[in-house]
Amino acid sequence: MEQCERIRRELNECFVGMSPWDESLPEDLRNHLAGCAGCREYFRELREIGVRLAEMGQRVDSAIRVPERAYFETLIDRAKMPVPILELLAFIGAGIGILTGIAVAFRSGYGFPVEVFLGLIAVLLPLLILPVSLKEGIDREE
Amino acid sequence: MANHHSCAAEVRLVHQARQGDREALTRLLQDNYRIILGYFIKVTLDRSWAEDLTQETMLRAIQKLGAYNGSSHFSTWLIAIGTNLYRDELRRRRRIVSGVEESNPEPSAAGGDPELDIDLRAALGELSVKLRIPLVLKFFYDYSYEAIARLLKLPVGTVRSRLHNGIREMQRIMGDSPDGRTE
Repeated sequence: MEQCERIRRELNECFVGMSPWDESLPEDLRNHLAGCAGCREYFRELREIGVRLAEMGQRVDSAIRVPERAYFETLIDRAKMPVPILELLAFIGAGIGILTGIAVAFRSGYGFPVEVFLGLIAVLLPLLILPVSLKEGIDREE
Repeated sequence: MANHHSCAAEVRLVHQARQGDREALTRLLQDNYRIILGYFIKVTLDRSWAEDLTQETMLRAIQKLGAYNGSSHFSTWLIAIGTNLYRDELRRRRRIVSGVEESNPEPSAAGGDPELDIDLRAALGELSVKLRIPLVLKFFYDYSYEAIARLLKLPVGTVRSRLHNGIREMQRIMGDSPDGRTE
């Protein structure tokens, strides 16, 4: 039993080190497997998992449809647009939205506190977002 | 690792892309799309999440093309970028939903890929991410211990033990499963 445990550890070691289709095993392991039904079954299960994983991988890959060139060209355009420009566009959009809100609040007669509140948001929001987005943009070693 | 380009052709394409050749960059991305999306489908077990990560990985790769030093296949470099993004995303999700461990990314049933074997998918889904990623790199892409260690920035011994534990876990889970053919 102790020997079987050692052999199974070695079988594991061989299994993770070889290709799922590979049938080669060191001679001492092969000899043990020839005489031990339990370990043979153990190894058969291991190999079955490996082969099924490999087959599933092939199925997944072959079912993938690669998009047309236009998709990649759009990606390139997006990636090459400098981040500050994207942020600037976002801030302009947010600013227009908030100013519209202030105007609507003013015209609807909500009064001074609501206008001040929206005005503060208009000033503080970019100040809060900017450091975060700059931090996110710092390159990490990939 | 399977690739559509021979190494020399790939190096040439990367060089041209770095010089600003759009055509070369488009080809590089197009040729590696299947590998990257396939990798993410197997790791996340969720098609739509995999598509998002693939897109994000490609965006990063375009921005950082100058950092690619050609010491590995372009696809390996993309997988390294993608794996970092995936880990970051898991950490972000973990922060948002406190109490959800990184080990359980909860692959959604709705996002499941029809090509994924149901019980294999369930078994992979039960594995922690730190066991699943090396397993995917080994069994789907046949990376060596050393290559996985470099890619994940881990010691070789850690990769080896994670692979051992991963396969043992898979065997246990599939043995427990009523559908598991290994029973």
